[in-house]
Amino acid sequence: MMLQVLAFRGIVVYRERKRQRAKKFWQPILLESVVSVPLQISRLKRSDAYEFLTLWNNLRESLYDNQVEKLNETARTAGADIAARRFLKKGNVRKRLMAVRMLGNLRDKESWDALEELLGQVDATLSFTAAQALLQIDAEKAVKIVMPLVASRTDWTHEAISLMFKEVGADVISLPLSKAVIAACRKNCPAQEADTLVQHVPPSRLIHLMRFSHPRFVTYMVRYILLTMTDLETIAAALKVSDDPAILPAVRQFLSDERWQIRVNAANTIGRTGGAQDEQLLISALHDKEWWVRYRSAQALASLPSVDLEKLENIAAAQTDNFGRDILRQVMAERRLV
Amino acid sequence: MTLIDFIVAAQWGFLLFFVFLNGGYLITIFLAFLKLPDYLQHQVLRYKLPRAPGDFLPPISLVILAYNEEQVIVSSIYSLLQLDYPTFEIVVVSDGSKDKTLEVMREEFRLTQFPEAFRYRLAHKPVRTVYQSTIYPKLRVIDKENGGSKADASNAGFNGARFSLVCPLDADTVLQPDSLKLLVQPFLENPETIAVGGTVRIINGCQVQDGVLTQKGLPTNLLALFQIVEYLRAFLFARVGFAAMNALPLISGAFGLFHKESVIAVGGYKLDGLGEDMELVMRLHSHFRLHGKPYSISFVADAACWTEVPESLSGLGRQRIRWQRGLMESLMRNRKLMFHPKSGLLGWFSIPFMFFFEGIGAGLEAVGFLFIIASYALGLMSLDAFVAFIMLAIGMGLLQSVAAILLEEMTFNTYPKIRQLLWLMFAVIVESFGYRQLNSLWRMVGLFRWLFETESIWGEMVRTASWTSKAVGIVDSKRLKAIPYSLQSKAAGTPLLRTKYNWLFKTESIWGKGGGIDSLTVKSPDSMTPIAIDSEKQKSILSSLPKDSATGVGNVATVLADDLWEEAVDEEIEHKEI
Repeated sequence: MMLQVLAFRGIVVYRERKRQRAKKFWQPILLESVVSVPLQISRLKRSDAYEFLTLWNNLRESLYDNQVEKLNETARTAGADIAARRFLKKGNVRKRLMAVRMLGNLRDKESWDALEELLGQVDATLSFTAAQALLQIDAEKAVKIVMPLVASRTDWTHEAISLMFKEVGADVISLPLSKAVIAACRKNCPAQEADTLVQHVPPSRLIHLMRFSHPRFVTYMVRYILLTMTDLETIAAALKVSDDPAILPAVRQFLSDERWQIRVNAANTIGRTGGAQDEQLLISALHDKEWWVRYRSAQALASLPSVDLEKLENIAAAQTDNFGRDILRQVMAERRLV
Repeated sequence: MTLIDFIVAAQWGFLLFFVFLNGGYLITIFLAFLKLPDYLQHQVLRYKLPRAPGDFLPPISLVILAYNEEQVIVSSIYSLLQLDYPTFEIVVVSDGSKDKTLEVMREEFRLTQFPEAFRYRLAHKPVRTVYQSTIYPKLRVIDKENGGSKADASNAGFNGARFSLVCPLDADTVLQPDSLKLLVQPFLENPETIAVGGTVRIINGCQVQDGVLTQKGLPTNLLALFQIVEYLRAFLFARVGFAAMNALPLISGAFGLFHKESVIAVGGYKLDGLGEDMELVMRLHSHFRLHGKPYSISFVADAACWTEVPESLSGLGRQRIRWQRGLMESLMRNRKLMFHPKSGLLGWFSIPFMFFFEGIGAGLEAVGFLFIIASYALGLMSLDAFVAFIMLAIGMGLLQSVAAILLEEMTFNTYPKIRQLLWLMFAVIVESFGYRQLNSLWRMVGLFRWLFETESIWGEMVRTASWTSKAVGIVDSKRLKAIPYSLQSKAAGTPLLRTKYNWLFKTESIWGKGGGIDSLTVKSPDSMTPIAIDSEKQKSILSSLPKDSATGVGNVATVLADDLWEEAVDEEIEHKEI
């Protein structure tokens, strides 16, 4: 077995040398092609294909979209797109992932069907990377297929979806996402279009993503949720994405909700969007039995445009119990440090 | 039953024990070989490409437990300040240190008293003062009365943490810049995750500069070297194997990430006893499983932290005896999990494995060896059988160690030089003769001490900290004044094109690029010494680099940041005015 370890080390060294050779050959060409297409580009050898894909993807994702035209041309001239499609059909996970990423970065329309097929994979990384690629190729078309999966594929992480939506942009996602949120909220309504997929998903998962939508969609959705929904996670999620003072009347009511998680989020929202008329409401929340509500209310109070440090000190001095006074002192100290 | 019958039965009994023991280890080895390479294949985009959801990761509270750590605490904090993670805070719990731990922090990080409305949700000794750094907003220090245990300090850290994910760390722990990003993944992938463990690697023999691990190496001290092999076995096999069954019984106290409310729901760390890290994880299992609540406790093999291990026999012996006692205490306190109908593979595999093989098995193993040797010496065992048994026992140990090195080669390849590999192989062979048996003996002592309930005390670990060099901060006013304000660009070549993360540049013969920057090193223009900056600052620098001020190689950008130094000087002046 020790010999096996040594033999394996030999393989590792051999692979690394091969990788370095490919890198030494292709990296200058790729870098050169950012500014001009090199005159002579040799065809990509099979043995160099994975390293090429890695280098190309790495460079491509470091560049702004208006800098990539020549780099794309170099990839196609070298035959990297063909290599990527080959990896897609038969390659290990590592190669397939790198290939999917390249085909997306290249906006390779020819690979649409193969990538769409990957969406159904049990492997979450592979299916998510395929979704990203499809959105890169044709966002309008892909969003109709991807949105129901965003709701149902709970193995796609919220953070990765956030990045994907941020890249796609509010123009593309606002409407389909709003529809998906409504569908998820209306669990008892008859199924329509993609609704069957989202009915079993907690709406909060989708609501958190609303921050990548246009503000008018967010306002509409938050108002709808605050008026119609009652469950904790959904309301808390809606309060988190709410940034429109127009919703304040509804938000204020939640500062006296029996669930502290909702009171915390209501205080945060008032802090972001409230005004002088909310001061008294927040001062009374400084006596809340839950520490987090007191803390967020104090922070909200401090962030109101009508409240400065001097006013905070006066409010603290006027407190009749230690809870309110202590938490205000902490928040004032935080403010002074900032 | 005659004496001979008894001895024969005992011999068979010990043989059976060794078969089951090694069978158990083989199952975890098999699972690790199955899972780990596949997991790493899935991480390829994260490792090789720059596009990642970094901005959307949940915030984390890092809790450093410090008791008499004046030698390493500043370096550790600088190391953490340079982590590649979007939002985190550092909460240092100074557990009534008798040395200058608090003073060195106060001076280096300009701590000021902070009127925190501290919440005592978990039990611990009273907090004396909370401090806030005036130059690093994400750094706070909780100075509390000494509680005599790590558990007491950890509970204070959980109470003081502001974010919902808490990562308790030892003061001498050095994290890799991407460790947190990797460790948090299970929380993103599965909302039912309540705790995640990372790999602990050994820092003895490595080089750390300004709190950053700059060179991975192997120690020349044999005891530390043997422990590297042990840690590889423990983290690459046992943890990966158990986690694959959602039956991980232990997350190392040196590096784990916990959902704060879950820890608070089970009452935090127990203040009495020694194995507080394992006991907490067992209690979390117990609480969630027996109440039928869905949950997951996971392990991330590529999220690594580096920590110092004892290099003396006495230090190591004390540590192992303590671990053994801690193990037995944790198992016995949560014994209801064993073979409980609701306990799943945890109760039917992990815990029995830990109890019979790692727990009382330690005693049995030592007794077994002695018994077999005595049987042979008294002529009650043939030479063939004796040699076969010894060879089998040592051979199985060797098999596990070599398999661990093979898996390490297949996955992380932490020690890439052939000399290092040979040195590790040497350790594998030598540790089988003497070191392992000594370990069994220490564990047996630990077992006896647990049985006879001698007092539980925490021995002090003697740290050499030979791997670390002095940290350089941005607050050394003498150095700041000596720095010329005008930018003396040392850019290696002509900048060609600005990308999202860096500048492409060209020299006469070499092309360089900075695509996929993972971290940013800011260096002073005169001495090229690194300056610690937080991630927000990194982002702002990256987005506003003047055209001729940056060069980049590989995944690290180097900025000769004259303007940042001017900012630091301004801060310095402002501070003095205050």
